Amino acid sequence: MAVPTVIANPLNLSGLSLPPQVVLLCRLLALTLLLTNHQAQIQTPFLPFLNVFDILPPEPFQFALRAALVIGSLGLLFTRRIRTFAVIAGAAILLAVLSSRGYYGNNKTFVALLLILSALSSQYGPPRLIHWQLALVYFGAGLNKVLDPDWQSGQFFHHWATDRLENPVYIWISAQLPPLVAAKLFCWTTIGAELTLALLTLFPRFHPAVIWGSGLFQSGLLLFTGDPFNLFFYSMQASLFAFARWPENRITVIWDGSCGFCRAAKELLQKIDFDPIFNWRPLQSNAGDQFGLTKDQLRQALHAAGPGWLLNGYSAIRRMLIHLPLFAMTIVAAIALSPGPQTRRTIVALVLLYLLPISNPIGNLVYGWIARHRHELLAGETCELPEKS
Amino acid sequence: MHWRIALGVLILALQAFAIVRARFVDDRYFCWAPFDQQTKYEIGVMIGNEGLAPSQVQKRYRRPAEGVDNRSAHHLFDIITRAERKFEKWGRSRVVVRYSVNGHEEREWRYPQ
Repeated sequence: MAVPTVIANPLNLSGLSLPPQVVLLCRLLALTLLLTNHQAQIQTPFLPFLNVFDILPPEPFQFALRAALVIGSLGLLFTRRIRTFAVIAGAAILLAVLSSRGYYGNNKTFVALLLILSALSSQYGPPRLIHWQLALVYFGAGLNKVLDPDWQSGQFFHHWATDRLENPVYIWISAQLPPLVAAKLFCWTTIGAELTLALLTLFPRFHPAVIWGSGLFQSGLLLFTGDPFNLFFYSMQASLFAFARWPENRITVIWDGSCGFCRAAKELLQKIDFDPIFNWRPLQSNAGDQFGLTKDQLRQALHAAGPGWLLNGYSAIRRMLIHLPLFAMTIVAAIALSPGPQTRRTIVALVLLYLLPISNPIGNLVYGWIARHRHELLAGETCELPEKS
Repeated sequence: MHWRIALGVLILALQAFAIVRARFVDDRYFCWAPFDQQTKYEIGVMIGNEGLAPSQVQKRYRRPAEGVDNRSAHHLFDIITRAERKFEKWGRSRVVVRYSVNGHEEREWRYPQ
């Protein structure tokens, strides 16, 4: 029986009505909403921002919003109608926010607007509406803090980290310095980071800096508190995909076609690369010529080339994994389903360790060992591939 | 300009307006001020001569009778004021909120003021 064309594999990002990175953004939000059972937080109207919500029947309205959120999230994950279901899920959260001061929250409003602005984005070109949205969030947050005397003096941070969080790292640092100096440093670093990020989001050439800066900033916050602040951590990180330069053409991966272990690894990656985004070329096919790579260089390590970059070995594998939606979805699921703050911290720390160059020495060491022994790892599986492109 | 982009720009413009508005009012709705204040509070409600239990306070305001709010204290006062205006047809109440912002000395806010 033919599968209806509306059904989609959640790990397939291409050929849809929005750019792949925006589809991934929406699907990560949908996954978060479902895994955190967010629909249960939606209330009946309570002191709404717009009086019209007071005249609606409370329970049916609440049920409709909850149903719309679940249907919208499932539709985002499992159908090709990304725009439609982004509007449904986003509107459900936005209506829930507008209809209840009890439910109102910055994190929920941000998710709603991300979904709606994604749906309004163009199929081609960069999703500028989302860039401007993040600029507004950082600008609003930075402006409010810089004008607040408790942020200027460090009082906010000192009280929060000492009395509320009882964070041992901050308490120790603070004790080594004159009163409020550490707190002032944290407050002004936060203000500086937020206002700088607001500015950088507006300039495409600084978008890699936005991805790293905002990603590290939000991860640091989670490491410090152990708290994702409801949907905030997930949505801030997901929004960074809108700043990623997604390859227009497939990423060329040059591998050793004479190695059984390499073939097994390639087949595994092909199984989870549904778009597909990788164009696998054996080194025996002279695929390295267009990149000026000799066969000797190619035999040393796997090479991957995308728009404006050429990497090898551990760095190439890392870059390839980032482009697989399964990678981000697994991380989101692991954090969302974490039993507590310590597990969340551990997951985020491990992901950061993996993504940052700090892991290169050990990554290169492990990769180098595997590369040197690759012909022994799957004995009997080796064969030379014919020289063809 | 395509209608979708125009609608998106309108949504962003409304937020820019909310950021400017926040400079002239006490509340911080829709202006992207998450986690900017730590408000420790305790709400006491008297209706006639009878005080409400914490569970009744929670039901009345959809906020715990005591706790810490990560937003402007004025959001709490706004919720109480609006809720009391709504409920006053069933009898006037007196509300006292003892609160402390960012670890400063405790203060009191009352309804009616």
